[in-house]
Amino acid sequence: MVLESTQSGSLYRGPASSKAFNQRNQTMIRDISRLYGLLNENETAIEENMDIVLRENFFLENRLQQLQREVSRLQATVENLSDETGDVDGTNVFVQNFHLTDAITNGPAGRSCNLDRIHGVVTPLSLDSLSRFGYVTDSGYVFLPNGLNVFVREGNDTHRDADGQPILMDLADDKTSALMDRNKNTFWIRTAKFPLSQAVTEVFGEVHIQVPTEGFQNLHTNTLVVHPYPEGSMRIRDIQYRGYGDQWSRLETYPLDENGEPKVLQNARKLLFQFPQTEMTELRILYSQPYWFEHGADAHFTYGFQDIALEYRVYTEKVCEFITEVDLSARGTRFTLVGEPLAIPAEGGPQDLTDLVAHTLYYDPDLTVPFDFGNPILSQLDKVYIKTTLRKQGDLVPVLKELRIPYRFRRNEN
Amino acid sequence: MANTYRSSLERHNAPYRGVTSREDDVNFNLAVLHDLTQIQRVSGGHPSFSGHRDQIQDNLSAIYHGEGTVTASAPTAGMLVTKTKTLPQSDPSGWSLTGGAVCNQKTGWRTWELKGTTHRSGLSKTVPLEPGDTLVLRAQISALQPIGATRFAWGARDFNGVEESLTFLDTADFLVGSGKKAGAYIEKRLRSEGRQEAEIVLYAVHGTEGTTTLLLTDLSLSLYAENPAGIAPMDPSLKRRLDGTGDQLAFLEDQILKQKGEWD
Repeated sequence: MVLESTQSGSLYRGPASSKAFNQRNQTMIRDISRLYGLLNENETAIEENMDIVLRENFFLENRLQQLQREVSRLQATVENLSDETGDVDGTNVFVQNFHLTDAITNGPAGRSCNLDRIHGVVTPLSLDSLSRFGYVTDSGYVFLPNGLNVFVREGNDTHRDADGQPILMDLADDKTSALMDRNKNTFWIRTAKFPLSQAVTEVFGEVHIQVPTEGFQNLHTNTLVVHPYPEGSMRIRDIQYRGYGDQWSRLETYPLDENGEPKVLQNARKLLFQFPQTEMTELRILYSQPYWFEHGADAHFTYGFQDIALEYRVYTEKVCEFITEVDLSARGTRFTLVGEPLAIPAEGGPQDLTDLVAHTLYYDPDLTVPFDFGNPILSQLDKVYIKTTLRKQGDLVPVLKELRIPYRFRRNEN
Repeated sequence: MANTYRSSLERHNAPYRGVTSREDDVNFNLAVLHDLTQIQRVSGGHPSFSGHRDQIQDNLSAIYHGEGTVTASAPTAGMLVTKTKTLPQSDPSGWSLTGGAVCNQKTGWRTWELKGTTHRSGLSKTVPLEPGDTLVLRAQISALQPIGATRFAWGARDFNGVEESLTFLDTADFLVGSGKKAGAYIEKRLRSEGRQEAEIVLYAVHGTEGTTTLLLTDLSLSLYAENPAGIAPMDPSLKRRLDGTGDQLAFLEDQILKQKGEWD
């Protein structure tokens, strides 16, 4: 929209005649009127666009509820199938992940865990968290120091070196502050476009962060949070760091495959890496985007991050706990045995949970008397409670992504 | 509801004719300043006022994170309802007659004539219900001259422990030609609190006795699904539940494959 009043020839000299004066005022009236038109369009569009999103949101939620019900029915069907093996008792495994925590009660104050539904993990409670990228003032303002630098590189699978590795080129990008501003509503997003004729099938990238060293008492870190965007599309290929030395090292808890190579995390969700205390001056995250949108004669690869946070978290030395309720009452069955639970460590955290995690079995919600796992249950019991305790040991902090509780059951007689 | 803003310089019946005095010029400049200030506020350029910029940001935050005020015309919470099933034999042929009532099918689409004279004469049907079921009676009802009794009723007997859960309706309001409710669709919802055999009734006469003739069109008994609807923010709710469901499915697949291995 061009403002007529700014196109006048005598803008800085001023009107030379009464006619010019009136003409200037007329154009200003028209411009202001058109600005009001635009204002009113935006006013309506804000509501209309939100209406569109809201209504679909309701139906997405509805559809998700239906799918969850179908999954529950599938679970019951699988349970019934295990009943047909010929044993009197059926066997099943109760799986508790930490994205859905309805069956979980956190421990009492002073012994509670950190139930992190966003990352789908449970950890001991963190008492404090110090960002390695900047400071958060009391008013919530995030201050990013000058020493924080971000470099971005990009390549694709049609330009490779002699070893078949993609060649990454530097990218000029001045919007990378969105990566570390701790603002959930800002995203760093790039769309790489290629003609379809170029046959690009994957875009590779690297974010290289120089961690500020001034103003911090030390450079200790133990937690890295990576939130890819769009979630569930990108591949995280490796995460490396440098301390004061020259060598790049892999993040200690970055998962490896059976050949000892960094595992490619497919369809990456929001990720949490917990590692022993490490001094870091630089960090680099290697990733790729294997999905693209075809639009006309082009392929568009969109990738980015909502947030990357490098922190030093201070965890409580106390034992933390949470309680899982396993309820068979809706299925008309009762427990005949509850086996020793298996805690599944999260990728990105310590894999050996020995001495870090323990479980106790109770038959009542007040957790009065503990029972042994693996013993036959003779009473008519359709609910059990498993108390899981987590403790850190030195630098090792347990990060659980799943709890599997094996059990045997029998159908109620009536 | 979206507001409509208007420039104070806009004069539809008195177009700008130029200033003839210093006062006119001052007034013109003040009007320009007023309009610019208003544009600034509405756009979100003034820190003390929540304008479009804040609304755009809040809307994103609400739908993404579940935080912030929503600016929209559509309601942000309510009930999502749909008919999930129409019970078989919902039309009067599937009901029993009570109190000496007479019911005959008429020409026309799904139309029946129900005539009753005594208190509680009409139709009755037993429907098994589970806890949480919402049963809905629905029909297009008209009353024919002459009117005998003053009211008819429908609902349930011995429902949720209550002897009669009925809605009473003035027969005169449904009289053909009254210009009121004749030929309108009406419905009654019954929410079952437990497993029960509900006696559903439609009385042509309830209370004062007299001959009443009702035309029933499209009488049906259906089950509705009613689910509370509210914003399910993408990050903390939708995505996490998708993650959890995805993990459950992966584990189920594992179990099924293991079972196939055991049986093979």
